Amino acid sequence: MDALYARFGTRLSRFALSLLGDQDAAQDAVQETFLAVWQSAGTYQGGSSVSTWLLGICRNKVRDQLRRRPPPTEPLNGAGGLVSPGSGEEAVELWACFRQMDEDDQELIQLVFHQGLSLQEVAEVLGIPVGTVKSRTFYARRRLRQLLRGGDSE
Amino acid sequence: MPCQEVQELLPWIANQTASPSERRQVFAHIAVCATCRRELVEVVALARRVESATEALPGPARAVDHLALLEEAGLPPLVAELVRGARSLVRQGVVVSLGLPWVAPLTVRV
Ligand SMILES: [Zn+2]
Repeated sequence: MDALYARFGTRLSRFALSLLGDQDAAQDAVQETFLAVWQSAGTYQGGSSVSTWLLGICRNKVRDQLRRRPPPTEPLNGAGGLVSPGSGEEAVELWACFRQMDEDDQELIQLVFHQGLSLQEVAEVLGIPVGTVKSRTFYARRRLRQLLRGGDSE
Repeated sequence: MPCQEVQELLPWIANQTASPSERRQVFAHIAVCATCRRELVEVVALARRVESATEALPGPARAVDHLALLEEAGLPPLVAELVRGARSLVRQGVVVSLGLPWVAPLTVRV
């Protein structure tokens, strides 16, 4: 467990934080992930990579956190406390736009561009067909690009 | 390969997980299509931007003692014994594998 955490803890934390925008919630999601891993010891099928398997669990825990939390009080276009000290204007702008996308799109962008998952791995984590991953990612990145250019929608 | 199909694959060209045959097809198309070439440049830039912004996020806020956490949650006694044993071996500098299915690809190292 410690080995798993040492290897994937930071990666999962950043994934959860990028989607939740709140460090406590992100930490809870990651802890619940490792707890679920423990409780389901033996359900790892070996078919997917360990990181894909963990991301699949973590993603569900993030969803639980999102469902649990009260409606946002901060303005939608804020970066949501996500920006760490020292991060530049580029990051601030990115997070502000990122927050305006819907949760499914945020998740796809993170899985592909930060976690670096293959098409098949994304499909596995999200439990949707490869073709759907392709088309949804196409629209998600279009949307993000549009937002970064200052447009409101496609 | 039509433009739409190429453009749908670009994120995986950017993150370098596309298959060799996908890469071949995409690059063959890009060699003759300026629109998709521009699109690739944009996707790569976007990928870098997302990656660096996410990497700038703080990691775990506090260290977590997973063994304590798990014991709190109630470990099956046999498993708890296994983990404790593994820990003490690790402390002694021995590399162990817990032999649990989900730990199989990993080894506990000091
Ligand atoms: Zn084209």
